[in-house]
Amino acid sequence: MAVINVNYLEFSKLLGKRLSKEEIEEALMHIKCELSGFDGEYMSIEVKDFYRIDLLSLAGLVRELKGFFGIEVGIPNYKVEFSGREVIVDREVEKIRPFIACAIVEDIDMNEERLKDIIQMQDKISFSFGNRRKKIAIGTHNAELIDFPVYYKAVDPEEVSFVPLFEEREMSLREILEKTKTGKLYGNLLKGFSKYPVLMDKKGKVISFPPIINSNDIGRLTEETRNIFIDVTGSSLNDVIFVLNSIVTILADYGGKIKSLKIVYGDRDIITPDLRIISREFLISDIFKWIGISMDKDEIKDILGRKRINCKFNNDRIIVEYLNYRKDINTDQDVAEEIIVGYGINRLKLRYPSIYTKGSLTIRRKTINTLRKIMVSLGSIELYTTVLVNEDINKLFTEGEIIRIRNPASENYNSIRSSILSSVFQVMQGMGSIKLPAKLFEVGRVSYYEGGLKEDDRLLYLYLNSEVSFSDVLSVLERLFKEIKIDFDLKESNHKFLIEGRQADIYIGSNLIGWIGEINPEILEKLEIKYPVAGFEISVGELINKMKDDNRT
Amino acid sequence: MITELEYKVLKALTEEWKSLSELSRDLGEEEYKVLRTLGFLNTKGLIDLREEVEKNYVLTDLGEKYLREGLPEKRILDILEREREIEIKDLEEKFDRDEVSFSLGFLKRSGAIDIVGGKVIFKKRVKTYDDILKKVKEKRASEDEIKLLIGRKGILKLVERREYYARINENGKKVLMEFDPEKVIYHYTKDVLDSGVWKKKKFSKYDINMRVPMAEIGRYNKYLEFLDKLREELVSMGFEEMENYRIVVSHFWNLDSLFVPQDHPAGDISLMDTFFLKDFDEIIDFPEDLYKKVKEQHIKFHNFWDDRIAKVPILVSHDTTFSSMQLLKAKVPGKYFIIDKVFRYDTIDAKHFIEFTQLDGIVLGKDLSFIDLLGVLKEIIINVAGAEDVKFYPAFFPFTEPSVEVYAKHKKLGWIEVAGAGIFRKEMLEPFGIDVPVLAWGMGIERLAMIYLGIDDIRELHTKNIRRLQD
Repeated sequence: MAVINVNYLEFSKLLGKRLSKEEIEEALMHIKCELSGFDGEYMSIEVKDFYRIDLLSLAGLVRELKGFFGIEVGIPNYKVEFSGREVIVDREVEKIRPFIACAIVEDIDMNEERLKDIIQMQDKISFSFGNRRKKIAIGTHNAELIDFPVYYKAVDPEEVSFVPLFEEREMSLREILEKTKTGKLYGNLLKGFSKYPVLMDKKGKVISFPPIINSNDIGRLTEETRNIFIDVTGSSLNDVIFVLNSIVTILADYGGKIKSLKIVYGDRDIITPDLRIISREFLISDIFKWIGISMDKDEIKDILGRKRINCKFNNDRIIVEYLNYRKDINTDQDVAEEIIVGYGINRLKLRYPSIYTKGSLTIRRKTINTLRKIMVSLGSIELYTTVLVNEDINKLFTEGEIIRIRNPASENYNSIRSSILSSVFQVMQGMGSIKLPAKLFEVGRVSYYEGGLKEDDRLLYLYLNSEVSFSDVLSVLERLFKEIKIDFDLKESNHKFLIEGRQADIYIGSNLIGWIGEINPEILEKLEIKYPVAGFEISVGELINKMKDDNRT
Repeated sequence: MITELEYKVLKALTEEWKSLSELSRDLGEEEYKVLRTLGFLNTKGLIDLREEVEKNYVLTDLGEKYLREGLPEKRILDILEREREIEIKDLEEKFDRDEVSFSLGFLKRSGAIDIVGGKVIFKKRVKTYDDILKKVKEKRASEDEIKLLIGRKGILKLVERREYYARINENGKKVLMEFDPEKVIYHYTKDVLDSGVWKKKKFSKYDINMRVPMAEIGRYNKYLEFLDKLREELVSMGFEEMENYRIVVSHFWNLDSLFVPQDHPAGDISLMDTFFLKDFDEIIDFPEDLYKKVKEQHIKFHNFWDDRIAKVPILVSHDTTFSSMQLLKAKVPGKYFIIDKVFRYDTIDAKHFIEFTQLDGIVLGKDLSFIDLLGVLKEIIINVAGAEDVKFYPAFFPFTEPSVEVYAKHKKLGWIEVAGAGIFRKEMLEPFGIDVPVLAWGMGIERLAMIYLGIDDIRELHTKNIRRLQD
């Protein structure tokens, strides 16, 4: 999802229509965009569809909206003439950044807003679809300053130098990576390569250093620039051509004439851009199945026309045609989407599917709910604390390894709790007053390390009073197990967070399922908890296993 | 009929006025209890009760100090009597400056001293007001005496005290005479039943307005109770709960199995806001054959795959992960849901937290279509979210086509975005071997819960203050 800024006046001029804020809001929602801000001069527009890079520009939005309003329908018309010029690709770039597609667009009717829009489109495409220039990088240059043919080749980082865009002096490629802002930002994309890619013209003048930066003279566009040379480099031939196609249509919408170039790879030549009409055939009934209703052919034709798509019918088949600045129409499901969006989702009559299924909760949920019900009946209050807790508190109650977060949002939440006790004590830390006695419980998820990452649901019960004892909590444990009809045993234990000689491990048969005891005052002091605490924590997973063994689930 | 306490109080009263403080001291009961009982007795017309506001001058801390040590003029006079004369600056070392100047003024006016060129010379002993301090302390000082000290800064202060006085009247005496403790049962014991004494005696009457500490209560967490309610709704609509929940899942399940390109950059479901583990970089929580098929599909359609990325363990960032897992064992037709916790990196404030709950669901069926999706969504959102109406806008998610954003009309808030939904892409379902339409959606629960619970800080959905839960 990308957000672009669009000048309202320029937008209205190009659309030939002045819309109110509400009208723009509504219209944008229908082309998978959203108006997220409007200050009277600029609109900020969120473009939701990852593959609709053509919408990352004022002209592209207008082209789509002209269809929506019925001002222009069907496949937009672009003429492409071959320029007779060549870009020659050196084999050595194959391993670094193998593909390039180029075009020239001449006689662009440039102005300040359009220049801003072209630069913004370039940035947004290379950031979103281009995965921060890794997949796609784009350069736009003043075509009049270039002597053809252009060479795309790999060079030694020390050997070639030029003045990068907005810098004052010549720098070697290595220096550019080390010293310029974009060099530092994108330099990692060239990490490990001994040679770097550059575009040079016939005279050896550097045009650009993809995917890092343009040159300061050739690679700088101004309001006076009329003829633009575009290079798109990247890791996939299909994608570089697709992006170039989108860009030239935008420049053509600004009055430019599209000229193609021959890209000479070692083994083959291709001509770019490649503004072909793509046509695909589907069964009409398959499309209707996705939508849930059928429509007549004229209606479909009208709807698709407004989406800038043409269609023809051949008995039970539909032939869909679109210009290849789009790459998101591949299946009958995709065509159904275009029709639904064009028709207007809220005009569709809804249907509740007549499928009979039996609803149910999982055994895990039912068991958790049973335990919660018993605990509430015993007069205790249910807590809901966070799964993420502070590492140091977590460690107080964990005998094994802690599952730590690499990129925590805060110190308070830098590990996954391995016991409910840790998250509850984190909440009680430094806690002021509490009504005594306090009976508290929580059932929740924990994660711990035991030969691998493990997860379990646990039930914690805590009893706070001016005086507490092992038997206070044991009586609750006894009642709980009596209610769920499971027998348990206690064995002496030696947990640091409990008082020695006043604690035990809880077993079902030979399975260890939890602990019970009085909390060590050392821990209470550390966490500034001012009342004695006793409690137990048991594994819900083990209870479920036992019930399964007894065929009780 | 009078209560036990009323009887005790009545008995302690005489025909002479008795103060509340005295009375409660005699009875060994707290004043507020005795006062309340006096109120009841007064209402019943058994006693006379009057209230007086007493104004009394008492010593301040400074006054108390002077009582102990003597007023400064007295102490200066003591010194002079011994030394006969002294430099003023020497006095100022021993006393406060203001005390010295006031005291010398007083002593000179009363003819006890002379002051010559910075020197104080003793003439004769005069009377100081120390005895009045003592009388104030003992509450014996006359008004004229008090006036003599009021002028001095900070020695006396005026305190007001409300005092109540009560005496028994004729009615009271009559009731008291008729009241026979031998004829009344105070404590309702097993013995009272066994002996049959209740047949002969009357039970004493309680003060029904008495305040007692509230009984403890067991209580579900309000937010979890809300989630229970949602689960109940979904079960009643025929949905089966999914059982794959985990905090830590592989990137494979969280995103790759959903056909999200691995080189997909920042966005709603991106890695930008995902939590990673510090000490683990691989988790194998998927069947190998599915893994292979998903990998092939990515290479075919997205031209990108990295095994290391697929196997990275992350904190589950959306519940659609579990919808994907459910596809491995889902029945056709089938309806499934999950309501559980997901994790996303965010700056923590009143509107954003890093742990939140989503409600995800899928419906599988041979003849399902987009209008069924809309029907299911409308039904769920009206039932579950208590919305009045829904509307839809086209949206984009890498794993669904068509995709919609669902807005619900809420009574208070108007139209709010509540869910994202769509039909799973054929390309995504292929590795699972599923060839029927699968309707899918995911919705955030926090906003609905906050409206339901009347909370405006998202952090309060988790327990922060245990004391508050006890009330």
